[in-house]
Amino acid sequence: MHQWDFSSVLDNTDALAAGAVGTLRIFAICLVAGLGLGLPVGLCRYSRRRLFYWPSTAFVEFFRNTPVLVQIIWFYFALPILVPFSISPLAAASLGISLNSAAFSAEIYRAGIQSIDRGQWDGARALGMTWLQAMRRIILPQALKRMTPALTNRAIEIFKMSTLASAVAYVELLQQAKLIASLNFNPIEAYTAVAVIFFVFLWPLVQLTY
Amino acid sequence: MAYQWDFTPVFANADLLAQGLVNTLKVTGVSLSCGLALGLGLALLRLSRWRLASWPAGFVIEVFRTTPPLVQLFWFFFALPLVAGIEMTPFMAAIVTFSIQSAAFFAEVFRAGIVSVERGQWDAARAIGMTHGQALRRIVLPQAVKRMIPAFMERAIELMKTTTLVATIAYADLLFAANEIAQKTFRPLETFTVAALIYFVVITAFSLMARRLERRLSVSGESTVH
Amino acid sequence: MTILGVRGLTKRFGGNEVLRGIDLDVEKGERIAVLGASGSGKSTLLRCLNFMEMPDAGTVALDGRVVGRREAELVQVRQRVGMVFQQFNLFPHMTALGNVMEGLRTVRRMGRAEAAARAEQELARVGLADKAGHYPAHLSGGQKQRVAIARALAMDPELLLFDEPTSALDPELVGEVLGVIRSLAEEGRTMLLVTHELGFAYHVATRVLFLADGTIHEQGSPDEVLKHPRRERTQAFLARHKEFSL
Repeated sequence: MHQWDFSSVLDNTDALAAGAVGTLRIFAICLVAGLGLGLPVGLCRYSRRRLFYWPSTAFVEFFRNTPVLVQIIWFYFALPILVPFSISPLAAASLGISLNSAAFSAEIYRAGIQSIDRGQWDGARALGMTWLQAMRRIILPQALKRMTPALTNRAIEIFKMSTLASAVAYVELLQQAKLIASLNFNPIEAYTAVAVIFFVFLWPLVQLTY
Repeated sequence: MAYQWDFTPVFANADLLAQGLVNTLKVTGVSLSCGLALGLGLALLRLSRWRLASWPAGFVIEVFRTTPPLVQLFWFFFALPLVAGIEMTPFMAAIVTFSIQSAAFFAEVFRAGIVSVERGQWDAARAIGMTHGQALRRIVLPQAVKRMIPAFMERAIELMKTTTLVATIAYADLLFAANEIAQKTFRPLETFTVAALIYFVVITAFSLMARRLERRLSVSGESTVH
Repeated sequence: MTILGVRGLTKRFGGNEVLRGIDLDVEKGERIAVLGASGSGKSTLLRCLNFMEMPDAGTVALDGRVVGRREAELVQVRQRVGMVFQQFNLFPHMTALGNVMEGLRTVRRMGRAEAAARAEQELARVGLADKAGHYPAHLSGGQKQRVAIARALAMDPELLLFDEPTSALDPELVGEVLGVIRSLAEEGRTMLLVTHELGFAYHVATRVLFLADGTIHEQGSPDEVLKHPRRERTQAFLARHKEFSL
């Protein structure tokens, strides 16, 4: 029977703290970039003009139908060959997770906007508003309220996806757990501790979606 | 000087890629089936009136939905063998992780589906003398399952993408195979691009099938649960 | 002979006492119409009789034996007391024949061929033999309700409970359902009928109950209650249904 001993984990709290900072950093970057980029892409998806519709559709289809890890690996190993600068683990992971999240959130935005009754557009246009004014003042404010659960879900997914950055050795919680486990030979305590940390972080957010 | 694209080394290793794809589909398929069965069990436990049944089920569902899949995978691959004293191959760790994870998700879909069947159906079933179990099995579940098919397909496609995580514990799935080839041929750009494209084609194909199925279901007049 | 004996039936929903001590005896062959304003407890009364709702106090006796609370016993009771709902509640994933057969197969454990034959009989009785293979989605409201009646009849109930069977139907479809209920009445079936169709109640019922505030405010023959109501609330209720003409 294995003797649980968390002392080795507690001795390494500074390593875990560094991991937590890394996790929060990449979460913040990808949340803003992903949900931010998703809005214009979602608007393009909603548009009936081919110039906007087709490129945004291609973007969404591609980044939704390929695994995030593959994207991260591609950005880390493949992209540097094409560009004259180096791609850090943070950059590669952020690119992958952000573009993926942008694609998913674009669909959330599109569905939310589409769910607003046509009559609202009529009312706005009848007052002489442009498409953009109507979208900004009338449609989006109503749509955003409906999209909050789905967007919160997306945020939770982004937080969980931060662990994928460990595949390119970015310093976040899981990467630190691997480090601690390999140095102290205590994978049970190390990975359990990190699982608990994630659970504690995410539980309140998940409760919000109920 | 522009980069010279050269796909030939990649195609020379097509068999490795093919095997990787097969393994990806294998993990997806097995995890999906186990997850479905387990998920139904979890859902029924969750709906049960006995707290001894519903509480642990709820706990499992919450834990597996609120922790990252990669952490779960690492735990089952590195930690579980030490806790339980058993040998864990990457394949086994993958199956266990993704089955339970899918089950946690499916449990919520099942529960929502069952609850979405209107009360009148339960009434009618009980009014002709059915027990709770008979009503569930013959009347409510068949209707619930039909509504849940889109959500299931959605989840199946998600799972196909999530299985790439096994590459991090050295299971020879498509991503792992691509990595091996990239290192062998020093052609990461071409290799990973091809891998990404293969994933894209396969997943898009399944996605289109799922959408067609959903359209056919909604035409027959059934509402759906997501 | 008394099929159903009810004593002191009481039912509360939250703080609201919907049934306050109902006493009722139903003899074999009786057709009892239950009238009352909405909220008077008519549906609740019916649903307590086959224990779809559990009474808070009082007893219900079937053929002289008081019914207990155990699920196994209630399941037996529901096989002997049939119910037809306002919203039909047909099983959408089964054909009309499938719906009628379902009780026989799953509850009575009858063989498929035997159950099918019996189901076809019942569907013919309600005039829908040609719709046996149709799904509920392709049936009109009146047809759906007739299938629901066939489904209840297939179980050979000693007592039939109709909970506003025509209230959810378009006016032109009401007649076909009332026609079926009338033919069942002429066969001598025992039934309780909660309805707003006062003309039908007058012609088909042997006894009329008027419910108010959770008690039987007035009861008697259709002539007594519907043509010469003695109590004020009954008179007020009937006055509101002015389209009622004999």
